[in-house]
Amino acid sequence: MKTTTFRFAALAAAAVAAVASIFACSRSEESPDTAGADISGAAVGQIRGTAAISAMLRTRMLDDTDSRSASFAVESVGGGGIFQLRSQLGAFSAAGTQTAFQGGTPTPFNMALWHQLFARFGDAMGEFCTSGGTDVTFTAYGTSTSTFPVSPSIDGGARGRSFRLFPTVAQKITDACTFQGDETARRATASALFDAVMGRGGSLADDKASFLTTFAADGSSFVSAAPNERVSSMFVAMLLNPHFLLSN
Amino acid sequence: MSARRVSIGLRCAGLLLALSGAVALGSGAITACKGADDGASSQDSAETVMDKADWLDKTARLLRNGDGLGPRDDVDALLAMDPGAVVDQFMQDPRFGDMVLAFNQFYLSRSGAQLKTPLPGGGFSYSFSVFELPQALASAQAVVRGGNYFDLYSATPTAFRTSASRPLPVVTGGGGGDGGLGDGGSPPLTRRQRIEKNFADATAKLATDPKGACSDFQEAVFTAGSELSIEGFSHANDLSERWFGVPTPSSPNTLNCRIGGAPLTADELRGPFSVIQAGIEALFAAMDAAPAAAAINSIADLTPVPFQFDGLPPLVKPFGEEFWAVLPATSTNFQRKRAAYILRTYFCDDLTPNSIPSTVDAGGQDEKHASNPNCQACHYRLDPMGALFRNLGAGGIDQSAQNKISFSDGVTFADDQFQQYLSQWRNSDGSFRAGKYVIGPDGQPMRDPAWLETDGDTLDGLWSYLPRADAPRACLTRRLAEYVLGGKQVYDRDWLSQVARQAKFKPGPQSGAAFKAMVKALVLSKTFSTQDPKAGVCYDQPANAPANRPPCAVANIVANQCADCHSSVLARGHLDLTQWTLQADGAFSWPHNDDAGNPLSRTDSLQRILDRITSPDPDKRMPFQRSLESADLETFKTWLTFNLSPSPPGSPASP
Repeated sequence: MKTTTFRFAALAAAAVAAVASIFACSRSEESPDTAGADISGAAVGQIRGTAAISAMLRTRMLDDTDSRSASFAVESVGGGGIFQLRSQLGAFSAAGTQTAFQGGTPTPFNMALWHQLFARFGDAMGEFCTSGGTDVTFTAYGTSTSTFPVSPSIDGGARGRSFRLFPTVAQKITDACTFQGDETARRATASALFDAVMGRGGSLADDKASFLTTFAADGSSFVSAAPNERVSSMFVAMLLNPHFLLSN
Repeated sequence: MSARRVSIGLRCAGLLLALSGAVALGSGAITACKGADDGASSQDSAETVMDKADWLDKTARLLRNGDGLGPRDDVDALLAMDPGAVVDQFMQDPRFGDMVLAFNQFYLSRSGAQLKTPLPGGGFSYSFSVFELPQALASAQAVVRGGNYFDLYSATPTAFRTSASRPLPVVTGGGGGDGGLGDGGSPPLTRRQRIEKNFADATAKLATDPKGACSDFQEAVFTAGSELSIEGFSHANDLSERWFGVPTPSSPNTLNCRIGGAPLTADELRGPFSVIQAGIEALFAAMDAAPAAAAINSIADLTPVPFQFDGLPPLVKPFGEEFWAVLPATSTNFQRKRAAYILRTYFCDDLTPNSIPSTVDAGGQDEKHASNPNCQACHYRLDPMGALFRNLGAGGIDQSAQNKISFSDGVTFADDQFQQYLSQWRNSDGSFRAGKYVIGPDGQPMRDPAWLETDGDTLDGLWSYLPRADAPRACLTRRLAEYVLGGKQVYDRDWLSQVARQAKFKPGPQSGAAFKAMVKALVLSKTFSTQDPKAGVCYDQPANAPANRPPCAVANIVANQCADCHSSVLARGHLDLTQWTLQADGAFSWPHNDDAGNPLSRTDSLQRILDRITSPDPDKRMPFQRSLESADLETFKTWLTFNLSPSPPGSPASP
């Protein structure tokens, strides 16, 4: 119930954000020939796309010594339904000898898709509070929409897949689960998690301050919320941040 | 706290969070989007320099091909390092090779493909598309290992081993009978021994059954190709295609069992049999001499298989199957799709029309469209490039010895029709108008002087011309800047030229290192390290640039194409294109007077310049009796149009 309510509110807000983004990026809409800019990863105000987001999450969070890590694909986190729509999330498509980046402009639809993906990503991180260990499991992970049992040779077996977190990242998530100590300690915990996921760039300072206040300040409902809810919400808040989702 | 309170609290907090996230996203997007299309108007800006941690992450993502900083990185140590040292360190990362490879694919218009996929037991498998463009891979290896980056222009790129380990030799059965498993009586053969026996059997059959022998020989080559593929030879599938067909002067031993319907005789087949068998044996030897890496973790682990063999066509060519498939030659467009690709890829020429004087000799072909003066604006450079492909039909098959061409749409031109097809490129003396054409001093198209007679008039000439000429290198440098700095970002071309000069980026064994030096210079540039750079602003100036230099987007064009004549208000056109100064109307512009000596406003001045460079009247069009190259014309025209718009971003009073 809580999760549903939160998701609904967040989804609605994401749609608002998407509309805002459209207005913000209306000039890009007028100039569709921005594909070349996206290629370099230095495009302005465009969604980074699934390949770049996957690489960022993999590099920052997963254990690079585990062979499973390299195959992490964020577009699979939401299951086959969203995977089938992955071109809407920002991806390259071939056209003759040229390849063009498509789906990079924020729209209500692709923002809703991204929200769905990140909500499931956040849920998996929240469940880590319960499961512990080093592996995080994405229960919907997969590329097939079939309801029949899937052969291991085709789809890696039953839907859902585990990846190993990098030890220091796993520890930071665990700390956010327990969230012990006073406000100062909580802020330090939230700050460490934010740095691990978002990076330490100075351009993030304002957003980081808001993040810490929202989740760690005395009086925040997240302080007393269930650990999995708190951690899940933390990830959704971080990953939907334009600094993470959009090219700079 | 009760569950209900938690629920309400979370609902409100969630909504607030989500809304704040929405606002952040929206405002972030606005921030991120501002300046996306501000145009090339101003020369400098007070944008903030990127925070070093932000720069570190951006740099890591670029040089590690999408992977940014990770938990293994000691960010504090990196923050304390000199930026140049950081770049050097990141370039030691195996993923830097992938970045260079990804850039090379972007340059060749094939970006976006996934380069590699992880293997369950560790390591990676590089995708088919990587081996489809082996020159891109060889060139990237030259950067990582030290070597000639300009292998990117090789006419005969090297093949590679695609897999990490060589499979064990498989015993395929006895040496007698049909060679099937369980064939008793003879000692078992390894696959390679089986191939040798297949060749021997086919050759022995020549005396009694040449037709059957040829068929068996083709089968033997196919089997050899399969074995080479299993052993990880990237171009094994090309064996049957490249070494069978109609012999050409450059590959007389190409094998075709029937020519003109008549089977070849034993004597005619013996030579090609011998040469092809020797070629395949040499290929196996080359594979043995190029042992595979134990595991493939980066492009440095992909082993090249150098192979040169006289008398047979090269197995590996710059354009693979996919190129010919997506760029077909048809009976209606002839070779123009292919020509457009060459111009766009290697010359950054997107075929923007470029007015040239009329009465250009169109050759012997009455092709009204291409010989129309307006149409020649593109065709003068498109058609000679297409002529390089004139004998390459469907699938890129060389039909130069057949007096015909078969197009991808199923149409074949033969005899007179073929000669008429060729005549569109023929000069009056019978030679072909083929190669890279530019506008000459007289305003007429001419072959680029850098295209030598020895380069010839076929596609092979392009590969010897490209590394020698300046224009392709300048284009390559621009593409690299686009890749590193962003496709919409303007930058000063003189500055970029200085970067290339300082890096000594020219063909040779040091060019791999020079490429790294260029990437480093770009990453350390102000443009790269500016927070939210405005697309229309130049952040890097060439060394010793005068204070009154014209705006960077057009400074290079104006200086090279216009300023020799228009260097003073007392000179021609009363226009001084050497000065960019504050004018009486409060705007920065070039000094420009009317015939009476009165200063023109910035708007009037820019409008006059725009009218002159786009005029259809050859007596008015500038440069006089010459033409700007299309990319320059497009850049200058766009810049002028933008600055003539009612309210271009940024104060008109600012440079």
